Amino acid sequence: MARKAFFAALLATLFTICGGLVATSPAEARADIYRYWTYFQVTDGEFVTSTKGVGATVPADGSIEAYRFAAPADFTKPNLPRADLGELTFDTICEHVDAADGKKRVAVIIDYGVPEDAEGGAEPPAPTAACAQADEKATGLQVLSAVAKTRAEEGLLCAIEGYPAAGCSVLVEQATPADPADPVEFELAGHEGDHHEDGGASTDASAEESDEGSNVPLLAAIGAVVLAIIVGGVLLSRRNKTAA
Amino acid sequence: MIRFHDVSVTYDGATTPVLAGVNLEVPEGELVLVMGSTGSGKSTLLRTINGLVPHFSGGTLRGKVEVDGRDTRTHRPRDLADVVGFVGQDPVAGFVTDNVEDELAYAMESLGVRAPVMRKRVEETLDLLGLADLRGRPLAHLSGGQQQRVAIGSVLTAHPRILVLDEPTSALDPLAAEDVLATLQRLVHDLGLTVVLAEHRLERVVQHADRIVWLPGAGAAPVDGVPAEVLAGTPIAPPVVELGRTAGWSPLPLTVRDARRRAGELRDRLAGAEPPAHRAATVGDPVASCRDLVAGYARRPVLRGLTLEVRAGEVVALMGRNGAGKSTLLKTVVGIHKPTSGRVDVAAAGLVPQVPSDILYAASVAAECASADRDAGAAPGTTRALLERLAPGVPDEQHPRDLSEGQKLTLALAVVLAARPKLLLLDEPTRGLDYTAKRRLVSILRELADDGHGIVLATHDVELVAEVASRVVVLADGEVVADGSAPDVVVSSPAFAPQVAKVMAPQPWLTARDVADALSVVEQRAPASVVETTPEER
Amino acid sequence: MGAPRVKRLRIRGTYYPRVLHPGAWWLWALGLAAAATRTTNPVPLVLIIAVTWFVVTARRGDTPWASSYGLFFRLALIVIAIHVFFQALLSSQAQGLAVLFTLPEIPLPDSTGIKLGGAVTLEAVLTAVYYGLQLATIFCCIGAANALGSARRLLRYVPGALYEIGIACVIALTFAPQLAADAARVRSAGRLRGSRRGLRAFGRLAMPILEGSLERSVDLAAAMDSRGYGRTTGESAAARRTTAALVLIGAFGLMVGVYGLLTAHSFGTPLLLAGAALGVAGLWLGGRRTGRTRYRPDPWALPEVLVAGSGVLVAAAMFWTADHSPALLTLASPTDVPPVPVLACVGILAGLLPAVLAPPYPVSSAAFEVAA
Repeated sequence: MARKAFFAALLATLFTICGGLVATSPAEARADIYRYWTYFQVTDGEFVTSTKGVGATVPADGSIEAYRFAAPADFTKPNLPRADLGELTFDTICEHVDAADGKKRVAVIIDYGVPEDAEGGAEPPAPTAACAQADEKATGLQVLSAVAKTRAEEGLLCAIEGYPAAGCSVLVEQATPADPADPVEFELAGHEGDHHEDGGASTDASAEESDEGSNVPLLAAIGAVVLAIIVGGVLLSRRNKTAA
Repeated sequence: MIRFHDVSVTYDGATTPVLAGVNLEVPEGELVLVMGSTGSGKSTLLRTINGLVPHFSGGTLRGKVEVDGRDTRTHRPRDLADVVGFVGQDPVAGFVTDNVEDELAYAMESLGVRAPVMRKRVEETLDLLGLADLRGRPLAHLSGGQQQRVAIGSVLTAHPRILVLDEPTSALDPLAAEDVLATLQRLVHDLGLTVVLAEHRLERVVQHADRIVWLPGAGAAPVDGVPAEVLAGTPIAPPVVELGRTAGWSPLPLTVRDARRRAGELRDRLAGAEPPAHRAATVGDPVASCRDLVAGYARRPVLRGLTLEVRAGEVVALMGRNGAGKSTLLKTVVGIHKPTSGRVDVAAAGLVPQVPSDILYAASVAAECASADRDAGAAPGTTRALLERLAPGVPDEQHPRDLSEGQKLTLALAVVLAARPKLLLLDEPTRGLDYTAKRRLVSILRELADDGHGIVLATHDVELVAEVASRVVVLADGEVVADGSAPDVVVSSPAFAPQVAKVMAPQPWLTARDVADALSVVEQRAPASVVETTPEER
Repeated sequence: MGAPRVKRLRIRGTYYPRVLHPGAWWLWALGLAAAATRTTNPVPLVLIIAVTWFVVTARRGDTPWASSYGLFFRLALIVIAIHVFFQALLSSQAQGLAVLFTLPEIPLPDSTGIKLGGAVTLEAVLTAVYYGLQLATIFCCIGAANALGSARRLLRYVPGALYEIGIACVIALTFAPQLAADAARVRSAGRLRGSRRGLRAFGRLAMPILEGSLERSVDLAAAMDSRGYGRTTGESAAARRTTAALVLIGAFGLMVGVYGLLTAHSFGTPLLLAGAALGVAGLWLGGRRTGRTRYRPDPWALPEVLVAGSGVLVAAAMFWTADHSPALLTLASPTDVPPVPVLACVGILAGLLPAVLAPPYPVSSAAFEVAA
């Protein structure tokens, strides 16, 4: 009798769980929200979501490419870069970069999004715009990496300038709210005075180097530890061999 | 202990029963040898004892088999596991775990024996079978004899009262076989175990048997009795019994010791006779020569600087314990295995592998022959004609898998011969062959040698060597340790001497037939006793 | 004088040479592998590989599977090579501007979105190496687990109710190498017949190989049956059905729970807990019914706890870093100098502890005789 009662209880639990699963799943499934970099091209003064992956497009000389980090509630209507295309044109972005033979110039607009999307609600980096100069056959991704550090996985853009620090198109609970109508200010890279041959990348690189100066001793230490482990292991296996 | 009441077994799809009219009673503590040629139902008889037939194999069992009072019709093999320990032909195929101790414990775990009892029984069994040094060893690292002992141990731990073994020594070299048989002997004497075993190599087991059950085959009722009586009437008998028949001894001797005690008289009768030399009639050009051959694994050479020459017309027997390098030498000569250093010069060579079915691929004998013709570039019909010569009457439409071991070997031999090799290599050709098939093989090999083939056989079978070899090469640790005519090498060796040689020493006689021929010459009479019992093949 | 002094011997009971519970080794290795899944930074990855190798060197026995680490290590290298090769070949995934060399390009229709050949960039190759390295690290962890704790031995500890599944795994583990050996034997024998190459030859050889393995499985089944396999002591058909039902329900519960967790639904955790509870209850009840006993189970003592704990520590340090400073575990760009996640690295070094904490593998008596 006791066993039967236990069995019944077990089955009841099971059904409750199944019921819960059936009841909750449709609602939850519709609400699946991903946070990722949306890739746009500018045509006729408007942001248009790219139909191709960032590694599969070849932007034309003089075109504008744009990126926005957000978690749109509906992926067919992503949040757009909060830029005023009337002000932020190819000419304004690329005015300090001269055209060169065999190279193309592409304006790149990067919007890091709003604090609601950042890990822990932190303030994201300020939105920037830069002029990329790259090989004529360069893909969208290569154009982007001419002005910013990129992290990509199998053709999917995961991070720009190390933002976000980890993950690639992750599932989140909360969607980005609709953006206010007012555009925000975009910082124009390469406009502080210096003239850069290859866009803003070199400033980043030099800044990076001073940052990572402190990294080298640590790396050396790790290298020494790995070496010690290997030497120790070799000595150990020698000893074992002679012992056996 | 075991009772058969009018048992007959018919497999599904077969028209005639494999076994019929079996009425037997095996009392406790006996060692019973089941003998018979291939296909006579030996395995079937053994498998009825623990219920594998019919529960596992299918088919119909009529009559009743009672084991320790349990009827096998209502008890499945697993229900008999605590009474009957069954060890199959290939011990490796029956291993469930990977090390010795776990393998010994497996049956007890299945039977739900309590942990302390298990612990004690495993220790006892390790001691009983001399496996204590190997307890933690992976099963794959054991030698054939050790594996067979573990297989026996793994059923003994369940404390069965009956042990059933199907060809326990067929894959073992003579010394390992001795080892296993001595273990069995001890189990019978010390534990009072009832042992039922089937074996082709009668010369190894007859001396241990209390009783023989002979299955004449073709569904005839088994003959059952004391070894000396049963062997007097069977067409298959170990060499020492054949010698006894030749010399006209009665009762027949079963052991070398029995025979030796009476052999003085026989030796006197043969004093003037010259034993045959066992040399090749005509020796031709070299068909293979190896010089300073090193082969094997990078860090562990199996052959170490081996030098050997084989000439046309010779039958060379390669002997030596398991792992001495026999198979490696054959593979290197035929070109499957690349030597590390040294030279191999060889004419067209063909190898019949240890498992003949490895080179049989087709769905019927006819298709197999046709494809062998194509492979060898021979005229269509060549292989079939060869097969007809070697083994007449193998049906065309039969699947090679369903042939008997002897027929499989002959088919493989025909397939290899179709390519017209000058040198023929055979790896353990007598594994699983009964006496009749073995005799046929001997005559085939002699014929091929007379045709000018060079033949090399790697074998443990000392009686085959005595019959057919014109030269014996003993390998140990990858080197040649003895090389000479069969009588020279074999007679003095304790491990490789055939039974007749042991009986007749110091006179170098190798086979009962040699003795019979010599007697007929010496005493001017026809060797009647031999002709009666060993029909000529040709 | 007084009573004779009693000499007290201090015995370090847990540290005599013995075989560690395989579960401890697997937990340790899984901890390291879990840590590896959290990062593509080559620094901790290389460190993990070094740690696994060292511990295997220090604590493996003379068993046949002890050499499996080398096998897995070679597999890991192959994984990296394959990653790099495909990255180089499929330039649609090309990124970065530092062109190393240019391969001839084979244009494919645009719709495929794939280009073969083209420029190979440093960034692309480095990305491939790092991702390959992550997979390679996981391979090394599995190799270490295999070398240190036999998978077969581990299977002895599957719950009694899942015994059938366990034995099936054991047989599969035996069968694969045997099948490979069979195949090698038949193939070399096939060469004796002037064997053809290619698919036809394979078809021809498949026959004897399959036949051989079929025969072997029948033999094994017969041997297992003769040794009492599946003989459940005094159990009725109804009881067997109940056991099966309990196990099924348990498995189902676990599955639902894992699904919930993986899809990050809010109900994931409670479902997993409920499912796990069901599973444990089912397995426990089912296990009570089998009449099998276990021979010499490995003890789970302090060394086991420490070894498993060190693996958990590695994973914990890595997961904490992933939560608090993810930038240390993922490179912003493949050409960056990799940052050093100090805490995670210290955690990984804790994975070295089993090289000391685990009891040494006992030397088999045969090896001992050779040494002596």
